[in-house]
Amino acid sequence: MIKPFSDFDQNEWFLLISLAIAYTTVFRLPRLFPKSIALLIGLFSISLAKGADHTLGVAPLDYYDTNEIPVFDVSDFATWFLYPAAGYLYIYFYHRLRIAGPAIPVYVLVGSALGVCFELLSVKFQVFTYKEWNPGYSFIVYLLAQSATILFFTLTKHWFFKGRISR
Amino acid sequence: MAVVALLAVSILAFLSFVVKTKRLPALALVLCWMVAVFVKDAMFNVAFLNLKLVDVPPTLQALYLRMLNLYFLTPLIVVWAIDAVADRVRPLREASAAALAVTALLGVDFAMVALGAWKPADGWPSWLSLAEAVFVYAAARALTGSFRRLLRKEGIVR
Repeated sequence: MIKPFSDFDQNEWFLLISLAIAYTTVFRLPRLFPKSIALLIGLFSISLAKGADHTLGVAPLDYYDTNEIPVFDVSDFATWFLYPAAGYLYIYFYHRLRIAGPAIPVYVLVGSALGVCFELLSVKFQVFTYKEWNPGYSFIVYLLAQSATILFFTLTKHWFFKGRISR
Repeated sequence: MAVVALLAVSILAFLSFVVKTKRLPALALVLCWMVAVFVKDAMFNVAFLNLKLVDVPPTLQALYLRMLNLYFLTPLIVVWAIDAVADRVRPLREASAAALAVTALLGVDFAMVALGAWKPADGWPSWLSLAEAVFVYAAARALTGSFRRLLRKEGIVR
């Protein structure tokens, strides 16, 4: 079955602290968009991230492992909860700062750079273990994933308001 | 050749779904699609791979086939079946749609095994394929229903 924590050490502490900071921020910020859109953004983020992990982290590619051991344990499961919060906060600030036009690529660039910095910190704390992976690849993946998230948010917002108007 | 046929069928099925009139709101369709991807991914990669119930050949074709199944075929079947029973329907029609979806999911899984996307390890319990298909469909059905209630609360009725 799914293993409990292999050792409760630095990667588990790092995850717990990151989760506490992320969800405290999410719940303390005033709500900006409907629950349905927030839910979809969270689900989109986790689907995208797990999809990438299970494509890039599994044979034949097998570029990296999550946490210290190559099998699934509770700390792997805990990492899942980071993605919805990260996706929500990313879109929250995108919406709150009214990013539009040429500012969008700049926002994506800054977001991707921050993503790589957080990932390097995660590697330091052994949340991820690179095999044949490097931060340059991550940067490209973040650029694509964050652009897709913004596109997804724009679409869901459009469908939401179209659904309301057509009542 | 079999892979090309599978791709052709997938593209035509997707096209047919796109052009048909949908009963569910677009947001519910998207949620249903993502739930199907998420649940299937969790079951296959976390449960089956982790417990070594399946062997994954280290080839790119196997990876592409698994991606086609995960992101495209499984959610398409699930979304199609759930959309077909989105309006109030008789229990018999609901059960028929579920049975059809589960059969299609099993068919796709068997096709994947036949094409070498993965192979069941020794000791693979035969009921597990059925249980996986039922679970993916049931989870997507339940969550889409709850999401529709949330959408109604937020003023989107269809």
